[in-house]
Parts: sequence; structure tokens; C-alpha cells
Amino acid sequence: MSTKQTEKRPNVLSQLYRGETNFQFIPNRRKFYIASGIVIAALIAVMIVKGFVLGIDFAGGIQYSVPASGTEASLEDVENAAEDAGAEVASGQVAGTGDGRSYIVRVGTMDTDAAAEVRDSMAAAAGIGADSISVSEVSATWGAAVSKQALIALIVFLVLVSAFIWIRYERRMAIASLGALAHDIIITAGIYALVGFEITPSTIVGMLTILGYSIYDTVVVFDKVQENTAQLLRSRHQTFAEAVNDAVNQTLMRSINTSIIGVLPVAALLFVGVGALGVGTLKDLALVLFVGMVVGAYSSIFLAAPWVVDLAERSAAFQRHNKKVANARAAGGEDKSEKPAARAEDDEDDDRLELAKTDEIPLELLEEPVKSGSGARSGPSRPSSSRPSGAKKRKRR
Amino acid sequence: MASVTGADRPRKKIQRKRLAVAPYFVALLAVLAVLWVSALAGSGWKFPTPKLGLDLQGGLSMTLTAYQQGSDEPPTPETMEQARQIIENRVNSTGVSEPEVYVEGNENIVVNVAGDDIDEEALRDVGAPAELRFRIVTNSTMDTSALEDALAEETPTDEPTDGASETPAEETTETPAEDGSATPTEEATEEDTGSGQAPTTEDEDVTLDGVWEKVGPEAAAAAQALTAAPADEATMALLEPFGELTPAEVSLLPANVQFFVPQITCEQLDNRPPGAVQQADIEVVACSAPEPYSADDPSLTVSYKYLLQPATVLGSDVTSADVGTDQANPNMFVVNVQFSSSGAENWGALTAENTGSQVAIVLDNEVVSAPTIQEASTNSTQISGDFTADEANQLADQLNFGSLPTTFVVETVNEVTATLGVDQLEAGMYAMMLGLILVFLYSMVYYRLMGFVVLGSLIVATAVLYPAIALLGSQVGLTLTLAGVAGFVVSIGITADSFIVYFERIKEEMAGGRSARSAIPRAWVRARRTILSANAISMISAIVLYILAIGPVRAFAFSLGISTIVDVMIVFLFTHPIAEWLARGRVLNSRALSGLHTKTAPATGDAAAKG
Repeated sequence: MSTKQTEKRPNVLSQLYRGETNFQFIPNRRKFYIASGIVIAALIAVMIVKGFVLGIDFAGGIQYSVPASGTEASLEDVENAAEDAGAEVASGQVAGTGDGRSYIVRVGTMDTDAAAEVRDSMAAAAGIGADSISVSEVSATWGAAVSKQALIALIVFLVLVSAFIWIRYERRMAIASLGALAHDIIITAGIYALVGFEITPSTIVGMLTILGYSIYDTVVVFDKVQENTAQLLRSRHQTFAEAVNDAVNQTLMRSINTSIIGVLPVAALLFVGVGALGVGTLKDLALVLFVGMVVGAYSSIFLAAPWVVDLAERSAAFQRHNKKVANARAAGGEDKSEKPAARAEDDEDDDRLELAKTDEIPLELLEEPVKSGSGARSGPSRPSSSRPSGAKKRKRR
Repeated sequence: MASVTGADRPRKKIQRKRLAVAPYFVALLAVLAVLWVSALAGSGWKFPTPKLGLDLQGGLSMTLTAYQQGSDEPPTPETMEQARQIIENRVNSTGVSEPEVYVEGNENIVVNVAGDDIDEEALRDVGAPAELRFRIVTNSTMDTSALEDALAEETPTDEPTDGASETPAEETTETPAEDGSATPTEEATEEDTGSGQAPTTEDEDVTLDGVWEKVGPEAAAAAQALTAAPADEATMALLEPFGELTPAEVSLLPANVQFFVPQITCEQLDNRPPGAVQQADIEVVACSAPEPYSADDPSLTVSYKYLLQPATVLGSDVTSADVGTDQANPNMFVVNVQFSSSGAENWGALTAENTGSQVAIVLDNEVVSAPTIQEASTNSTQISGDFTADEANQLADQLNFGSLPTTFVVETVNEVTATLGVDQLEAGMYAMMLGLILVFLYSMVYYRLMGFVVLGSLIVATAVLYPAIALLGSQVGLTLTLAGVAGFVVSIGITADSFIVYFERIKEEMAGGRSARSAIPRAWVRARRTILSANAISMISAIVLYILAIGPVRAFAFSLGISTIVDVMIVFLFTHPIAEWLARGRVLNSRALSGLHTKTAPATGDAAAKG
């Protein structure tokens, strides 16, 4: 096994396995922002230009009622005939029994000529006159009220979840997780538009699953970030950005594992849905879930956590802290022994204590806003921009 | 042997606060037992099966056809969409059954409901207009026809005369209304509505004149002259033909004829076409629901026939309705109704002017109840009838969702097959099986022995989820569509995340040099917070979506809520105790088996890798 190797640089997989990777997620965050920005812009363009294909549940369609008492043809034959004539069959049912038996086939919207063609094709397959097939337009089953209520529910949900994250964690994380959520939804919807699958109720349900999953995944990462940074301002060995980068690296394996285990069944669904069946409910759902879960995992690590860093570094407290770290490093370059000592790792029963400490320091208290907007965007590499306010405050101490 | 230093040091302390795992497993078994027993009970002691959706098992398809009174024009598309919406809300009022409701052509609404055990009567009721009217009672009489029929079957000789003699006796206490002047106008309006009601009868062209002809001119003249119930035998005999009229024909007759002719029974009146007494500004006749004549024999029933004034308070004046119980009698269900501001004004005026008289609460063609007004009231009232809980709920729903903008009759009710082929379901099942096998293989490779804990947890999760879904299917109509099945499989995958968070925590602790025995309780304390926070979010989304959303979205919220609860339960009652239990043995301290070790030798590698 690779884990047996205890040389200086074990390979990446084994580092991953140990949670010892040190990928530079935070320092490279601009690249990820740009990459996501480009993808989002491209997909929004796709959505605008290409639009979505609405399924029968949203756009309505045409219903054919084929009398089946006098025909040998099966429902499948009739459905195939409709598909051969170019119709997108949404559902096929056998209704009634005995003489009243009929095949009810619903297809997506078509113009009159195409609809007539489909009817003729079905009549030929069933061996009956085209006139005996009744054709009627059917409405959408997904009414405007369903969408409206869903939207209201969504807004209330987002408000509540933001409030929850704000209270449980902090405001910056609430903002960042909403941003990551928006990112995930846009990309998933965009890819859906790109592929051109029909929008069905399954798709919407898949989207909602993604919504929950995206926030869930982000919260798990934030939980670790919060834990790692709770006592950060008391020490001087790490900047906030570095601490977040560590946290992300430590939860990396968790994120990968979760995504793999979540995506495996979905991939199987997608594989079977597209490969073996051609069209179907499974395909719609699986594509949304597949894309959404992958993007959701990506955004928690590459976007949400960096955003928290960006937001945090707008505040004076963290800018001052960055400065301190820089000073400490400049002064005693080798002074790293502070870290293990402070951790007090030999204390067996420190769980409760550590937890108490974690919760004792509400980060809100540390967020003194910067007086001028000058240092707002400063990264860890540029602590100098925060000098004025930082220096002043330190003097007061 | 591996982490000797880490393992030795904490032993005493850990043993002191060693977790008792037995209560957790007992609790889990208790939950499992309760769920399975209730699921079995819910399915009538057969192996419980979830209620499958329309796409997987088919169900009933009902076609409702609209007709508008007094016109042959089809309703506007807007009206149809509005009606579709209301019907969908009514079908959906149980929450999660995912019916299909769509407009077909320009005057049909198709309602597809999944399942093979559907109450067809209840399904038909979703097309009921649900027109609520509050009307002052001007006169009432007991209709004993049902009683007479029942008695005639049992004891053909004695009783009928008894019953017949009762009718006039009952009436003498009531004051006849001055309805002679009202008759001509009523005739005109009712004739108008008559042509619209035609589709329900075999004879398309029922008119009032036709009805008069059918009963004969003498009977017609006698009936129209009535201002009280006929007392003499000759008139009674003359009016006999009225008993032969169809409900549709009866509905055309003027209100006083419907009321005073004793041969017109409540059965005829109840079966008048929908909307027969809908028009608010005319006098109408309606019957109460049959009630037992005597306590001894519930099959002997009588109804009351009411002559009712024009309505001033309508269903549209109601803003909300909910179900409660009667204060005097907690076993009686009532529907509490809140009026809008204008409704409250009308209701206040109505009750103030008519204190002491009866007000009939008329729903569609039937008088639900006819309480006596004790004092003037304004904002709200209570509708009490002989409701079961279900009936009261249904009435409250109908009032809440509003009455249909046009009247519908049930045209056909058909059984329909599943919309998706069996091959789709099978393919879906294969895909899910494949997915779960892949998940298991991955966890085996990655977590080795702990992979079995993952597998065990997933199996227990399934064992909890299955009866829960079956139970909810039989109790609240939770319906599993193919998308729903896929959703549950995915949710199981997401459930696995809780284990991963936990195991990764253990790994992290062990990387710090602890033994499994010491690392597991510590990791639990931290993982628990993460798991609870993350699941709290899923729970918030489930509750919000369930309360606010409708249709498929609501069904989704329900599933999400269930799988979240199951997730938390499994982690707390199964995964954590089993990990604690395993930690007591030797297996987890063996590097080759546990899959939790990240270091090859104690106290090396850490600094090297971090640096």
C-alpha cells in the first residue's frame, strides 16, 4: 500500500487519505473565481439563446385516445408508431376494460400537421381508421400556482437557512453559502439547457435536492473552518486565509468521499437512463443530480470557503491579525514551537473545554469594520494595506 | 502494537466514561419494531408495500365535463385553469399523493389518481361545486319517504299509514310563507337554468312545460295552487304523478311546488343536477341529510325538507375554514368558518334580523345543518352537521379552496395502467442496485472493516425507511413515483455522508496518535455537532417546503424530511454505538483491517508530511 511509504513526499493519493494535503485553494482563489465566472457567463448565454425545453407537464401537449377493443396491437406498438412519426411520448396508459378499453397516449406539443401525422401512424399500427382516434389538447399539470408556491417556499427557506447559518456560524458564512448555492443552481440549470433534456417535475425535484445538498455540503466545510479559526486571533502563527486553507484540506477527503458515495448511485442511474433506455424520467433526474452534486462539492471548496476569507479580510480585526502574523514571522522565523504547545494535545478530557472555547468567541465581536474601504480586498499576501487602522489599534492596547 | 503510546495513556479515563451501547440498540430495535408493526397493521397484516405512483402502478382516471348554466358555449380557458387548480388543491389536500390534473380539450378536466384502493365516491366529490349558501328557513317539513320505503320492505301492512299521517301533523306548527307572488319570477329563472342542467339526463330537452304535461294539467294546477301541504285525500291522489318525476325534472319546478307536494321526496331533491339550488337570489327547496328516525334502528331514516329564502351570505364570503370539535360534545366534529369583512357585515345583518329563526347552511344541493339563530353574530360561525372527521376535513378544504367557477359532472371513471413501462421500473431498480453495490465496494476499499459499518448502517436505514414509507403510504397517501424511488436511493447516499464525517473525524484523531478506543468517543463529540448542524438545514428545507409548497414539491419535501430523520436516527442509534463497541475489540486497532489508520508507525511522518 502506498501508505507504507513514509518518505518525505508520499504520493497525492496517500496524502489525501491522511488528510495531509496542502493544496493552495485559498491563495489561488482568483483563478477559481475566474473559471467559475467564465463558465457561469457561458451557461447563462446558453440559457438565454437556447432556452429550456418544457415537458408536457409544463407546456401541455396532445392526447390521443386510441380505441383498443378491436385491435391486436399493444400499447407499446402504438407508442412506437407515435415515436416513429416524430412525437415525444410523455406517457402511455391503458384505460378502461372490455369494449371501452383504449390506449391513452400523451405527447408533447406539436403543430396540427405533425399531430395528424402521428395520428395516422398510430392508426396504421393499430389497424384502425384514423378517424376513430380522438385527438385533444391537454393542459399543463404543473400549474402556475405550483410554481408560485414553490418560489415562495424557496425564498422563505433561503431566509431561514441564512438565519440559521448566521446564528450557528456567522454572517460571512451565510453570505458565502448563498453565493455557492446560486452558483450551483445556475451551472446545473445551464448544463441542463445545454444538453437540451426536457424540463419535467422530476427535474424540479432534482433541483431542489441539489439546493439542499449544496448548502449541506457547504455547511460541513464551514463547520471545520469555524473550528480551526475559532481561536485564531489569539495566536500569531497563522493568518485566517491559511487556517481556512488548512480546514479545506482537512475536509477534502470527506468532501471527496461524500461526493463519490453520493454520485455513484446517480451515475448508475444516469448510465442506465441514457444508455439502456434512451429517454425517461430517470435520465432527467440523474443528470440534474449528477451535475448538481459534483458542482456542489466543487463550490463548497473552491468558492464558498475562499469567499469567507475575502469577506473576513474586509474587517479590521483580521487585517490587524494578518499584520501580527507577518510581524511575528519577520521577527522570529523559527518560532513555530508555539503551535504544538498551545494545542495542549495531551489533555485527554479537553473536548468540552475546547468546545466551550469555540463557542465563547462570537466572531461577530471581532468584526470591527474597516474605516476606509481601502483594504477591503487585501489577500493574506498583502497585509500592508491594512497598516493604518491596524497600527492605531495596536497602540491603544 | 501500532500506536502504543497513544493507546496506553488514555485507557483508564476512557474506561471510566465508557459508553453503554446496549440502550442504543434496544432503542433502535424498539423503533424498528414499532415501525414494522404499525406498517403491518396499516396494510391489514400483509407484507407492507409502499403506495406506488401513477407512473408505476396506474390508478383511476376521472373525466369531469363542465357545463355552464344557460349556455352551450364552453367555459373560457381561464375558467378551466381556475377549476383545474381548485380540483388539484382538493385532491392534494391530503398532502403528498401526487395526482395528475389537467385540462383536456376545452371543457374536460381529467383527474388521475394513483392506487388500486381508491374511494371512488371521495374521488367523485372532488368535482363537487362546493357552493355554500346561508339561507333563512321559511318552512320545513319532515320527509318520511325513506322511512316508509324501509318499513314497506320489512312490514308491508301497518306502518306506512302511520308515517303518512305524521307529515301533515308536523307541518301545522310551521307558518306557511307568502310565496304566491314569488312563483312567476321563479318559474322564469328556473327555466333558464334548466337548459344548462340538461346534460345529466337522458332526455336532452326537459322543460318546465314538458314537466307540467307529464304530470297532467289538473295535477299541475293543483300543485301550483298549494300554499300549504294538501290535507284532503283527493288532492293527494291528484298529486301522485309528481313522485314519478326524474330529479332533473323536479329541479325545474317552482320552489313552492317542490316543497308542498309531499310526493316529491328528498331522494329526488338530493339528486337534482349539481348547481340546482346555486342561484343565490331565488327561493329554493333543499333537504337535510337523512338522520335516524329512532335510536333502535339506524336503517330507518327521515330527512327534513326546507323551503329557503334567497341567500345573502355565500361561500365566497368565507375567508377560512378549519375543523374543530363541538364544545358541548367533543366527539362531534364541526367546521369553523371565518367571514371576510363584507361577509361579516352580511352575516351580522342576517342574524340580527332573524334571531330566533332557523338558518340553513346549504352546501350544493343539501342542507348541511339548520341551527336556530340564538343571537346576532358577525365574524365567524360554526357549521355542525353529523360529520365524521374526514367529512369535516373535506368540507373545510372545499371552503378553503373555494367553489368551482363552473359546474362539473363526472363523465367517466376508468381504471388506467401505469404511465411508465415495466422496463423503466426494472431498469431503475437495476441502476439502484448497481449504485448501492458500487457504494459498498468503495467503502470497503476505503474504510476496510468500517465499510461493513457503512453497509450495516445503510441496511438498517433501509429497514427503517421501508416500513416508514409503507406506513405513510397507507396513512397519509405518500406516493412513490419512480423519481421518488430514485430520490430515496440518492438520499441514502447522502445519509452515508454522516458516517463519512464521523469516520474522517476518527481518522483525524487517530492521526494525532490515539488508539481507536480513545479516538472514537472524541471524534463523536465533534462529528455530532457537524452532523446535527448539516441535518438541521435539510430539516428546515423539508419543513418549509412542506408547509408552503403544493403538488410534487410538497411530496418531495415529505421524502426529504423522512430521510433526514432516518439519517440522524441511524447515526445516533446505530453507527455511533457500533463504532464504540467495535473499538473495544482489537480489530480497529489493526491497521490492515480498520481503514482508519493514516500512519505507518507511531510518532513519525506527521511533521514530515505537514512540513
